[in-house]
Amino acid sequence: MSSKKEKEELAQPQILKLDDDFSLIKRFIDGDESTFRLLVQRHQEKVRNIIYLTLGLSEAVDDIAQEVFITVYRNLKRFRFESQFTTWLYRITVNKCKDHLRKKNVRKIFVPLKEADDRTSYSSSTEEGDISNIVKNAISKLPYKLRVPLLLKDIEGFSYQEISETMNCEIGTVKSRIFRARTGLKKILEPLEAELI
Amino acid sequence: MRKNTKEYELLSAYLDDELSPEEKTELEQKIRSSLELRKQLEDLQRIKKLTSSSYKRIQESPYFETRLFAEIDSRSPWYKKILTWSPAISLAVLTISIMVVLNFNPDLIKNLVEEQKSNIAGFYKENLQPLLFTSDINNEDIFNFAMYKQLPLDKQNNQYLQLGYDPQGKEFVEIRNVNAPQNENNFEKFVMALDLNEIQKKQIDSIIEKYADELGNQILVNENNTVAINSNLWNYQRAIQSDLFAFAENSNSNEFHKFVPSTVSFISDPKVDEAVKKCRTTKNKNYIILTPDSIFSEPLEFDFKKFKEGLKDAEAKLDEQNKQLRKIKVKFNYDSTWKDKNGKHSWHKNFNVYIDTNICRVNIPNIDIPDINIPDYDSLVGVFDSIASNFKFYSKYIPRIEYFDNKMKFHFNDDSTNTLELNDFSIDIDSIMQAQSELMDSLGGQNWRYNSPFNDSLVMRGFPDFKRFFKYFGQENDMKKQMEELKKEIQKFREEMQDWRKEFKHETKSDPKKIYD
Repeated sequence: MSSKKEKEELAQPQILKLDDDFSLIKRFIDGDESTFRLLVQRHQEKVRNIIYLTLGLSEAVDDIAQEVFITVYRNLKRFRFESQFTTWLYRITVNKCKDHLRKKNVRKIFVPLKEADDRTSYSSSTEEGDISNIVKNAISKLPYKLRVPLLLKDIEGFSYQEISETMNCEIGTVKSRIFRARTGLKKILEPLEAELI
Repeated sequence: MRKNTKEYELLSAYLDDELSPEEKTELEQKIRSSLELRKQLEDLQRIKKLTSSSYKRIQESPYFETRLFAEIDSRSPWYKKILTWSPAISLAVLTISIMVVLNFNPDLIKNLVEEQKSNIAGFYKENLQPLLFTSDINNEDIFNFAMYKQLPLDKQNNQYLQLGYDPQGKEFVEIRNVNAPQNENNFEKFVMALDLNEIQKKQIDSIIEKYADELGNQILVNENNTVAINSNLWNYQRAIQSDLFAFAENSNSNEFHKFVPSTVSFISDPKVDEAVKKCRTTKNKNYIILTPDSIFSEPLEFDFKKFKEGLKDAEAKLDEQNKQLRKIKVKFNYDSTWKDKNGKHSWHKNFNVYIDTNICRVNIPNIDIPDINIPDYDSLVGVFDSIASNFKFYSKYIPRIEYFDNKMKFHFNDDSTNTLELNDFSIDIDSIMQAQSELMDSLGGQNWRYNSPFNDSLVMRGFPDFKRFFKYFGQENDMKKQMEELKKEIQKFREEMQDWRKEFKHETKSDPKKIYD
């Protein structure tokens, strides 16, 4: 081991060294698979929330989150430590959500219209009459590529950098998509202004 | 329009605090100077606020982790699943391998067991030597073996080998840790009872020595506390006994038949000679091997002639160095506290073994013993046993009595240290009669045998075991009545005698002449 690396390790606080994601992943790669449980415990809430926000569904959240972590488990030994673990994790999460939506859209073609309408994520504003639901409904009408960056920023508090890494796009694109999402949302909500006041 | 859109994007990024300091300063200046921008900023702020407040975090799922790991386990690759089941799979593979091996080589386990048994047997059979060489066995011991089926293994510790027959007539052998009678000089008593002359004594000695030599390979021992007994040993014992009795009868028939019934004869039947000869010439390799932890039967080759030759050479070499051959000390140890799971001190398999504190008995029901039948031996076993005990008490062994100066001296065994001297041997008949009377009177007492109401030692000697010989013992009341009646009769007789004496005196005084008339 190089002296530089030794110094880096010495400089690192011991608790952090033992518990941070990279250490856990290293131990996993070395054969201690019990560390994967610690990673799951640490990140499951965030992953489930991203899915929930992205899809607007609560029923499928656990199934998709399960798929996310199984993918991580299978590929963790090939993790290259070039980015944060969370970046890689959230990208997988977003991609899984995208896959889910794609499959859902394919299925929609073969499902009768009435039934397909029943499967919409949010109930209509007239039924609920609640501001949150009105806004959620409005957000759900945004395209996926606009909706996800908006929610990651405004709900999860991601930085543009994090969103760009997660969505695998440029920061400028993120900036633009968030702006467009907000403008689009404004337009959707304009007819419902009275209910929002 | 494009310029406006660019500025509006910056406003959105400004709200998210994602502008560089320069961009931020520049935009803030523009906002201050542009009403439209301020309005746009307000709209964006409102939308951001609505978005942020419209969502609540999803509830925690308590079973998510459990379900996830169950799913991971179920989706594990095949080799990982195999790894989980590896102990069971290894066991199954091993079992199948053993089954395959046993299928092609069914005798494998049997051979392994036999090999182990043979290794253990080999250990115990190592360096076996004749007991007669290793222990100080003398003619007396050989004679006792012939008569009483007993041979010493370890004289110092009173350990004996005892042959015998159970009630069904099956042979058994015992290792006994009991105080067997020693120095009884049975052989000497036998010789004395037969009143043998010097030549005959030498002859009987040579017979015994001849058998001692031949018995060499019948009982073998080694330092591993192994005792190997040739299954022909029982026949040998019969042969020696028959041979000795035949010699005894032949040498001095008169004396012999004083302690042997006249109907029993050993020299009249040539078949006996033949059986004895057959017994001595039969080469039997079947040995019963007693070890401290196992008993088994094994064929064993022991070349006694070769052993003797080797012994002579070794002795010659050692003699040059003034050394002696080291003799084996046999001490057969066995676990006298052994119990089986039912708490019994015995087990039954090929041998029936009974264990006691002092005896380890091995019944030999299924061992191949050479079938040599000495004619009439079985029917005469009882006679043989009584002969073996009779000659000890034969009159020839009554002590020699010497009379001198009103004294009697009894010489037992011609040993001056073992004599009894009586100072006054004159017999006082009154004393005997008085003692007799007191003895009769004392019959009603509880401890009559232990009281010594009389001092006459001869009376004591004359009635050493009154209980055994006196047939009325145990019927004290009848005896007492009879004695009282006898006393009355005697008293009556005495009174009659006194009356008669008086009459006689009276008649004599009144007319003395009459008598002489």
